[in-house]
Amino acid sequence: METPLWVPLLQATVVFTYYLLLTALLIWAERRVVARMQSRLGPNRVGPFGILQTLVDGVKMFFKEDTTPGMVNRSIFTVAPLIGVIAGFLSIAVIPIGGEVTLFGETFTLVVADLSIGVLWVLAMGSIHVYSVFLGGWASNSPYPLLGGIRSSAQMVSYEIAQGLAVASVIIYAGSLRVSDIVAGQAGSGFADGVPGWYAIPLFPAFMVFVIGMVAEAGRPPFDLAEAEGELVGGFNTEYSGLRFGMFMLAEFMSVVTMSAIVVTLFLGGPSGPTFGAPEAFAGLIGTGWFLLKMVVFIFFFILLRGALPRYRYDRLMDLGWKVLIPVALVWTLVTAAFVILEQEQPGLGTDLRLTLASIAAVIVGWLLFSGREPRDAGDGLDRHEPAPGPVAAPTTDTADDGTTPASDDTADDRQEVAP
Amino acid sequence: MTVLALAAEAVASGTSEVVLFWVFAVLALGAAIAVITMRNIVHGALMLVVNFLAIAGLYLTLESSFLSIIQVLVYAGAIMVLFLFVIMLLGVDNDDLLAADVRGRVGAVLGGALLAGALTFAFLGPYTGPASVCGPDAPAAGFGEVDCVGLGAVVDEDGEVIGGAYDEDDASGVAFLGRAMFTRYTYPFELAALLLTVATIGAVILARRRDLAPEDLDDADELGPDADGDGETRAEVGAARPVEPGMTGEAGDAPGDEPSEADGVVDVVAEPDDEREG
Amino acid sequence: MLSEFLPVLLLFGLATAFAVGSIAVSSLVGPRVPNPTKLAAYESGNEPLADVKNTRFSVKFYMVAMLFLIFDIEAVFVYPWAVVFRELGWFGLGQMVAFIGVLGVAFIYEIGRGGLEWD
Repeated sequence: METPLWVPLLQATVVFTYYLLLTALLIWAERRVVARMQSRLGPNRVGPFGILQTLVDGVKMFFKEDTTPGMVNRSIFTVAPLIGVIAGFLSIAVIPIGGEVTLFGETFTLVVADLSIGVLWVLAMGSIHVYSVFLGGWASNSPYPLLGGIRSSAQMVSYEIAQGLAVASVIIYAGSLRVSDIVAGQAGSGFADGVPGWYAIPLFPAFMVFVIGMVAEAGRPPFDLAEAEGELVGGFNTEYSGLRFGMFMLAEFMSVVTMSAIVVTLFLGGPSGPTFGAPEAFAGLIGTGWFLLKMVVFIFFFILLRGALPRYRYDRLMDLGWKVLIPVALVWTLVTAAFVILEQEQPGLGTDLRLTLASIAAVIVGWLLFSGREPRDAGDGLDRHEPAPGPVAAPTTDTADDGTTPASDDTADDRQEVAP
Repeated sequence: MTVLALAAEAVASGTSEVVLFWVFAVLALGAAIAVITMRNIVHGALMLVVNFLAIAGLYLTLESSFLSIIQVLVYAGAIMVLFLFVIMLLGVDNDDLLAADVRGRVGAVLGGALLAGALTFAFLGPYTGPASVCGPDAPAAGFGEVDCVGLGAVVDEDGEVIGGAYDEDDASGVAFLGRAMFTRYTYPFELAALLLTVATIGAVILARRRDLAPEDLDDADELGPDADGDGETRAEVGAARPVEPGMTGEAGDAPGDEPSEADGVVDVVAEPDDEREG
Repeated sequence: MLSEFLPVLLLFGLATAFAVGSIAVSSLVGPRVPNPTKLAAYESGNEPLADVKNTRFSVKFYMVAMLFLIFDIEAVFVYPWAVVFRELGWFGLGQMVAFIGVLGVAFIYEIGRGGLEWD
C-alpha cells in the first residue's frame, strides 16, 4: 500500500509541534503552580493568565548575547545542546499521540513511525541524551560544569537501567516490542469490568520504578543533582548563555513532556479511552484528548514534586537507584513472567495467586513505610530526615543528632547569633 | 520536496539500500580512521560513537533493526559511556597516556596483525560457509550462489529455500533471535552471564585495591607502568590540590580511625569535593 | 522495512533545522559586546584554581559505568526473551533465572565490597 509523501510529513510536523507547544505550556504552568504553592502570583501579564510568557521569554532569548568563554572546546560546546534537543524530539517518534484519523481519504495514526523495535527506540534515544550532558560539561573546561556533567551522566545511566528493566515487564505483558501492540494490549477492561486494562495495575511495582526513574532521568527535583545551585552553580550548563543555554533548558523541560508521554503510553493505555460513540473519523481525535489528559496529570505530578520536595543527596540518589529500584525491577520481571506462564498453563490459578501476593506485598510495603526503619530503605522517594529549613532549627537538630545533651547556654547563644 | 519524493521512491524500490550501505560504510571507515588519528582523546572517543552509529545503520540496511538498536543501546549508550568515564578517571588531556614506548608499539603492531589474521580466517574460513549456519548436512553451494540464507532459512526436501528468517510479524527479528538464543544457544547464553560476572568482580578488585602499603599510596595515583613519565603531572596536581588530612584515603589508614568498610579502602583519586576546593 | 524509518528521518530533519536554525538566528540578531571577563571560567570572579585539564575523577564513577554496562547487557538479553518467553515456558524462565542469578552474584559482591558507597 503506497502512502503519499505528505502523510509522514504531516505526522512528523504535527508531533513536533505538539511537543514543542506542550513544553512551552509546561514552563508557564510550572511557574504558575510553583508560585501558587509559595503564595506568589507567578507570571500573569502576557496574555490571559500570562500564558504567553514562555513565548516572549523565548523571543527575548534570541536577542541575548551568546558568549563563548575562552577556555571551552568550541565545536563540542556548540554541538552538546543540539544533541540534547534532537535526541529529545527523536525519542517520541514511536509514541502515538492519538488514534487513527482519516484525512483526504488517507487513514493514518497520529504517530511519526510505528517502528518494529518500538520501545527500544525510546531507550536508545535516552542513552544518546546522556552525551549532551556529559559533553556539555566536558567541553566547558571549567570546574563546576565538569563536576555537574559527570555527576548527572552517572545519575542518568543508573536510572536508565531501572527504566529499561521496568520496560521489560511491559514487553513481557504485551509480548511485542511494537508500541501499537502495547497500546492495543491495554485497550478494553482489565481484571474486572469497568477497570481499565492499563499495565500500571498488574505491573504496579514496575510502574513505580519507571515513574521514579523518569523523574531522575529528566533531572527534575528532587533528583536535580546536576544543577544543585548551592554546590555546583548550574551544573553542566554553568558556562552557557544565550540560546545555547536555552537549548539545554528546552531539552530539560521537554524531557518532562516526553517522559510523561512515554509513561502514559507504556502503563496507562496511551490514547485509548471511551469514544462516546463518535464517528470513526473523529474517534482518533478523541484519543488525542485522552492522551493529553493523561499526560497533563503526569506533568502536574512533575510540577508538584518540584514545589514540594527538597533535593536528594547524591549518595542516597545512587543508593535508591542501584539498591532499591534495580533489584525490584529485576525481580518483578521474573515474577511477571512466572505469572504469565502460570496463567497460560492453568487459567484462573494465576489470578488468585496474584491477588493473594498483591495483598501480602501491600502489607510488607506498609510495614516498611510505617515502621521505625530508615526512611530511605522504604524506597518511597521521600527523605523525612531533612532538617527543617530556617536558621533557628539547624543548630538544635545538629546537637541532637550527635547524641549529646546540648548545654542550654550554647543553644541560647546559637539562637541569638543566627536569629535575624 | 522533490528530493523527498525521490528518496521515498528509492526506499520503496530497494535501490536505496545500496546507497545507504555506501554512506554508512564510508562513514564507519572514516570515523574509525579518525579515532586513531585524533590528537584529543575525547574527540577520538566521539568519533568512535559516530563509528558505532554508522555500524548500527549498516545493520539497518541488513534488515535487522533489533541488532541495530542494540548496537546503539549497548555500544554507543553503555560502552562509550564507560570509555568516557575511564578517560575522566585517567585525566583528559594527559599527554603521557598517548606516548607509548617502543615495546608498546611493537606489541600493538603484533596484536593488530594477529587480530587481522584472525578476522581474515573468520571471514574466509569454514565459519561463513553454508554448513556453519544451516548445519553440516546443508546443500553445497557453488561460488556466487546462496542456497542457505541465514539461520532461519526454511529448506524443503529438494534443498530449495522456501522461507527465511524475515517475516512481517517479526520485522525486527527479535522473536527469531530470542527463539535461537534460548533453545539452540542456551550454553553460550549462560556463559555470557558468567563472563559478565567475572568482568564485574575484576573491576571491583581493580578499583578497590586495599592491600597497598602506605608508602605505595603515592604510586597508586599513577595507574600506569611508567611512573617516571608521570612525575611532572603528579607534582602539578599535588600543588593545585593540597591534601587535607581527614579528607582522602590516606587519612583513612591512620591509626585510631574506625576500621569501617569505607575507611579501610584506598581512594585512587581524590573525591570531587576535594577537586572543587583545590 | 527501511521505509518505516523515513518519517523518523523527517522528524530528525525538523528537529535539527529547529535547533540549528534557532542558534544561527540568535547569533545573527544577538548583540556582541566582547569583554575579557566574559572569556573567563565561572569561578565567582576569581581565577579558577582547579587544574581542569588534569583533573582525575573518582574511581567510583568508573564503577558505576562498569555496573551500568553489565546491567545494560543484561537488559538487552531480557528483551528477546520477553518477546518469546510464552513459547519457551518454564524452560525459558529457568534459563533467565539462572542468568539473572549469576549476574546477581556479581551485583551482591560489588555492593558487599562497597563498590557503590559514596563516602
